[in-house]
Amino acid sequence: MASGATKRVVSSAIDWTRFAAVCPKWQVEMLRATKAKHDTFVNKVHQLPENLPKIDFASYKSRLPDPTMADRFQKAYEALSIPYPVDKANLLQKVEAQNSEKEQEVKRFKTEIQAEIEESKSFLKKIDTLPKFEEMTEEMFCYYFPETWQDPAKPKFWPYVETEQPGAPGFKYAK
Amino acid sequence: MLSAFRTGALRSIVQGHGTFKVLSVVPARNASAPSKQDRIDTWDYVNSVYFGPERDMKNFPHPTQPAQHEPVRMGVLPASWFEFFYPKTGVTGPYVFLGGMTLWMMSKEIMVVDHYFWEFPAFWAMVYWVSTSPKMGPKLKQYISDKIEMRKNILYERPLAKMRDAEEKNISNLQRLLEECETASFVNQAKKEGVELQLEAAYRQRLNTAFQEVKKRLDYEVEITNVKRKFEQDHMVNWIVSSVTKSITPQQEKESIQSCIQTLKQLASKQTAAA
Repeated sequence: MASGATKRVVSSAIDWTRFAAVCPKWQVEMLRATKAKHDTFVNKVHQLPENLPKIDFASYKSRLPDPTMADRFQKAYEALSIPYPVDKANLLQKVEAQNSEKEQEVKRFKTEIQAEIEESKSFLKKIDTLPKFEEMTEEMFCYYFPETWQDPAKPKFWPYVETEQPGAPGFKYAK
Repeated sequence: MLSAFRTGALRSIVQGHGTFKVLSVVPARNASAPSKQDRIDTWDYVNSVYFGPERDMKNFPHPTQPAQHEPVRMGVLPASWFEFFYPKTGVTGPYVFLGGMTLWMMSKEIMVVDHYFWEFPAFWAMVYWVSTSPKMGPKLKQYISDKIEMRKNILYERPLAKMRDAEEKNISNLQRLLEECETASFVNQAKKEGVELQLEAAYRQRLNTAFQEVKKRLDYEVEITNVKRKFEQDHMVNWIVSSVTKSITPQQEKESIQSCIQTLKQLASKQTAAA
């Protein structure tokens, strides 16, 4: 009965358990709202008949004063062709455009994350290339960990932490 | 140090290049918190210097600090010295050499017996006593090795473990984030399906309306005939009943009441006889 061009969607194909599993914690409320909205659409569809319901014209034939009237009605009812509603505002196309845009964005984000993961992995591997502590001289240690070296040109004061040095923000003893 | 290193001063010294070659290439950084990339760069470079292909590992092996000293005798003297004497002089050789050497040094006044002479044997006697004492030796050894272990922990093990943990946590967080990216596809699907489902609902609403309207008309026709028939029937019944009641005369009514009373009386007499 529906035109062949449009595919009829009668139920949701969304895997909601997977959706909930991958949903970030701070977006669970949004997920719940989306699910509720979606469920109203599905319920509305399910409340209504899928095809044109049958009418028992035979029983009407005996009850009607004019039996030909039932026949006429039957012929007309069976010939009835109901058009599938047209998406006048072109919403579907808009949604598709929005989706493809979003997909691009997600793709870009994913590559960024992948790069960051790769960096972290390479850093982990690099940590393993360091020689053992017993095999390092003091000089080597200073080369490997330059920030631990005390620069005589910039002496530090007790207790030798960054926040307690003159010039550090919030340092209370001298300017 | 880092800034000096990056600016090339140290690099040029290590590599023997001309001075300050890369001075302007890499800007000096905040020495307190090097970034991950900085660390990787630094370590790559230092590794290439200490363990690179140009390093002559065969003739100048990398120095390592052994965890334990080599075996000793008499508390402080390396056992290898004694081993050196055994094939040439037998087991008494090293002691004879030690005594002979001392005597020779004293006779030549290289070692002078003055007021400070006894400091030397006294010091080494103390070292011997402490290191071989079953009470003090192991304790001292434990104390010193604990100190070394602690220093290693603070300077090396703990910061590296912290870096490793941070990276692993970072990786697991990012992988979760990758997984969470799937939500976008679900949301897209939900949006699309929302539109399609609403279209479907509208279509079904139309079907339902058509069905209801046709059915309503048919039911209306049926109902009209039903009502007509019922009205005719009711009218007929009313007409017959009213004409019958009209045909009953007062005489007939009286007779019927009399007959009823008679019957009641008969019933009562039967009841008393039975009692």
